[in-house]
Amino acid sequence: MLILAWVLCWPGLARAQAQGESNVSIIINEVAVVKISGGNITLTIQAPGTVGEPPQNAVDSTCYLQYTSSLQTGQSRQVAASWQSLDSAPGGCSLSLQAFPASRSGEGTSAGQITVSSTAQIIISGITRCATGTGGTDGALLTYTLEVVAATDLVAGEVRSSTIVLTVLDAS
Amino acid sequence: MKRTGWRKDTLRKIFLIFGAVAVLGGLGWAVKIRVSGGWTEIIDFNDLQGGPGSDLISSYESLVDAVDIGITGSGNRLWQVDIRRMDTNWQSGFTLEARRTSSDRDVYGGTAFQQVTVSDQLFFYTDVSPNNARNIKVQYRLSGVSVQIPPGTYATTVCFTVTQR
Repeated sequence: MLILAWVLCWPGLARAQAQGESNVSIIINEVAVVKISGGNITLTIQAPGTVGEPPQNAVDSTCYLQYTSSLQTGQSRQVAASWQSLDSAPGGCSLSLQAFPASRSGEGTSAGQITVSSTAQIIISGITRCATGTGGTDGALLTYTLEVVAATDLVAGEVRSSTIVLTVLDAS
Repeated sequence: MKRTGWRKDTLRKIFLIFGAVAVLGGLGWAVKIRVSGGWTEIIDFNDLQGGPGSDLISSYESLVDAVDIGITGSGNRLWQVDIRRMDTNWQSGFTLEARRTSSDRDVYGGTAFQQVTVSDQLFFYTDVSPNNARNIKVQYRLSGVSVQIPPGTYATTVCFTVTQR
């Protein structure tokens, strides 16, 4: 036994070992950012082609809402739309808006068409973890419709510049 | 009878002395490793590839000198350093790699990024003129990040094991 211990402990044969440690931490924060691809749009109410007909509504479908969302499993986000500050539609008109998200996972679903008002209304719900893309036609298509609701209130030649605010919200 | 007893006793003493020398010698030559530093990476909206609508950058690198390693007490022996990770809270989609970034005399291997797994793998070693090594620098690289990874803190401990060869 003594001989065995002697042999095993001899520095020439021992296989010494030691260990050191280093910590690696990766912190991923939540992300919720949005932008509109397409920029400003112009909607013009045209005179009817036939005498006696109501003026025609104006429609625009050239803008896309692009967003990146990262959040905990089981949670979701929404996008809401409203007029900025004291903005509104021109006299005799209302503006409706509908978003059409792509059918990819996490990008949410359309909440249907809304009439834009000073109160924020949901246009997309069920957004989880996604990146819609940044290409010209990536993201949720936005369709704006300027509708004539009271032809007698229309003001010929009126030009109104208004801003719509789109906000990403955590779903409650 | 007396003479035989004396021989046995002497022999036992000789073995004990040599044994003690061997053990003390072994302890004296026990290789040691000192590891300092680490890496913390915070990933947020500033790390998007191209602003809103884009995904997070998938790959991140630490500073080239994120970790400093020193090896002492190797005596006249060659040694090697193995690397592995011990996960605390880690994502299966992450790939962690490490490489040696310093130019160290008589130290070989580990200069290209290699994946750090949960099993020991050879990282670098000495092959000639074994000496103590100081200020061996190590850089980490993480890949596999995307918005599909739930936000949170992910942690692992990288173990460097030095073994006399």
